[in-house]
Amino acid sequence: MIRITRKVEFSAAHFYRNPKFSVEENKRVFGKCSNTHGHGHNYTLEVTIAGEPDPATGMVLDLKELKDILQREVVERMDHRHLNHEVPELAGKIPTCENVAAVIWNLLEPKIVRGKLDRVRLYESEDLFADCTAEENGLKR
Amino acid sequence: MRISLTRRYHFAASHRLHSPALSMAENERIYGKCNSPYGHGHNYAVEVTITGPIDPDTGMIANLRDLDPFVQGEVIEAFDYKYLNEDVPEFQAAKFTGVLRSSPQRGLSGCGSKRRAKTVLNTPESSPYEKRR
Repeated sequence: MIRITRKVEFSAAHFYRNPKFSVEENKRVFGKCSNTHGHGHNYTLEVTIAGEPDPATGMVLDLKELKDILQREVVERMDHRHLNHEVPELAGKIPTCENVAAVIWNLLEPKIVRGKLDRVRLYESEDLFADCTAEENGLKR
Repeated sequence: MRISLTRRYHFAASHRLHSPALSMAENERIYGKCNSPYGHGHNYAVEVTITGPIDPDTGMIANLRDLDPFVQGEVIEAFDYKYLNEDVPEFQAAKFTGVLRSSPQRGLSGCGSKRRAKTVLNTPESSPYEKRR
């Protein structure tokens, strides 16, 4: 089995607020992230596809095809957007690194028809990232 | 699909690799430059990975407002700008990664029994990803 990884970047705004919490509670739980004017990050997304290379092309999945999928499904949806207000898939969810990564996994999984989606790693900063992995691979990691 | 959150922390420390069970010549042969008697230093990165369900109220597996001060208190303050051989009591009897591994699991037990913490230690010249596997 071979794994190939493609990286894309996008920039977006967000804030954390649970409408069930009081203003004070939101501030206590979410700190600076609770400022409802929002703040932004440069996100880096690494998407890994696992599979056997096609003997005719030598490719698990054409990286150009993967780039187009990432552009269409993620970058066009999220780049220079406000994740709380402009991304329907995140409606009703707090746009944490974990939740954004999970939404990206769910967007990409049905679109990968050659090879299998193996891992979605979303960096919110150099020192913070969320990983979504295929259930069957999860225990091996 | 399985999800985890990883936070990377940094500290700088000096150390010397030397085993009192070995002769001077053996120490030099096995540890090479790392056996230099005055010690040497590295910038270390520690990756702490938390797995578990996303709390629907916060959207988080772990709140960094809890994790950051915890790791700072348990790990970074103990190691940062220290001589590991002399300044960190755990090194009298334990191996480095073992020391790091035991701390987060102990401190995060209150976050929910399903959560697991894993630490990875690396210096910048080695890949954190390889060591994680």
